[in-house]
Amino acid sequence: MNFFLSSLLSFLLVYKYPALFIIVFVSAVAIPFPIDTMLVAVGAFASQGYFSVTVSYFAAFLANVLGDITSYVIWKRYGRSIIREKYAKKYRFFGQLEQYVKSHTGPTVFASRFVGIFGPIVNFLCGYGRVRFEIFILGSISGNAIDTVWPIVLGYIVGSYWENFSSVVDICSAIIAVLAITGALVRIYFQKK
Amino acid sequence: MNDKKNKRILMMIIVFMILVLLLLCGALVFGVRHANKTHQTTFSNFLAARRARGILPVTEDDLVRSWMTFDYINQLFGLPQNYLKSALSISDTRYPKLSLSEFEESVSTTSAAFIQNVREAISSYSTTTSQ
Repeated sequence: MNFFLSSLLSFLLVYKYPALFIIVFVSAVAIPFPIDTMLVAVGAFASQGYFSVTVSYFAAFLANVLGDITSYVIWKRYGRSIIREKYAKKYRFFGQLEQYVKSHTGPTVFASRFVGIFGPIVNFLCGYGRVRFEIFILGSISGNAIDTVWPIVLGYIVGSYWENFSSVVDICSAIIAVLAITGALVRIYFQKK
Repeated sequence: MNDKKNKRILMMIIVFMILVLLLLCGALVFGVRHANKTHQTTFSNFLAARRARGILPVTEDDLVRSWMTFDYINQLFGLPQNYLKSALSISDTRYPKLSLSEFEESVSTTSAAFIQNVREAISSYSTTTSQ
């Protein structure tokens, strides 16, 4: 287990739910921590009676949604003044990406919740592109409701042996990420035709 | 002409992504099989793991890791709150809300040696209580 995840787990065991909330919130806003693996651990802690499944689930879910909203609001307010002049006008691809997210907001926000690293990027694009808040929040709530539950349930089922499954969880996350990217590329390929 | 070239590049990227996907699927199968062999997580052991919820027997002390806190270890193995404190002569005021790695740093001991001490203390708990 890497040093980074070990430190997160120690922090989590000492400060419990506030720590869980802070880690997930920061991850949703900007820094993609290994949240799926951490939630598997939380599920295992719950199976040992050290955490509550219900409180953990709602703390993580709420932190994810609030993190998404915070990120959206920040980029909506300051995104254009920071990014547009310096970068966005120079690169045509950036404009295409903005248009893509604008026309497929709901599915993009929903799907990106399942791939840790994509969450903050899509939040940024939604805020920057000033997509409709209602559609953004609907995608965020529905995506996070499902994405938060599966690692906790997996951890709860495998219990004390959760570490044996952490590499499998990482590979599953990578498979979802590659599938999402490939799907988007295939869509672009056929759109051009 | 340029559009054709772009499409060819895009197709090459898609083929590459599919190959990565196949490799990851292979790694997933290998990972599950490896977990089965090395950690004995076959179905019967998996059922045993399910039963291992709550307090663990002290024979499972190999599950102790440096990121764990003393409080968590006490809960995991059903130890009295001050058992490890006295068994390992811990004077740190942060006990039991203190991870093993933090304690190792504060007393400048090596991780492997200290974890071994903790495991021995956990194992000897059953001997102490059975006497």
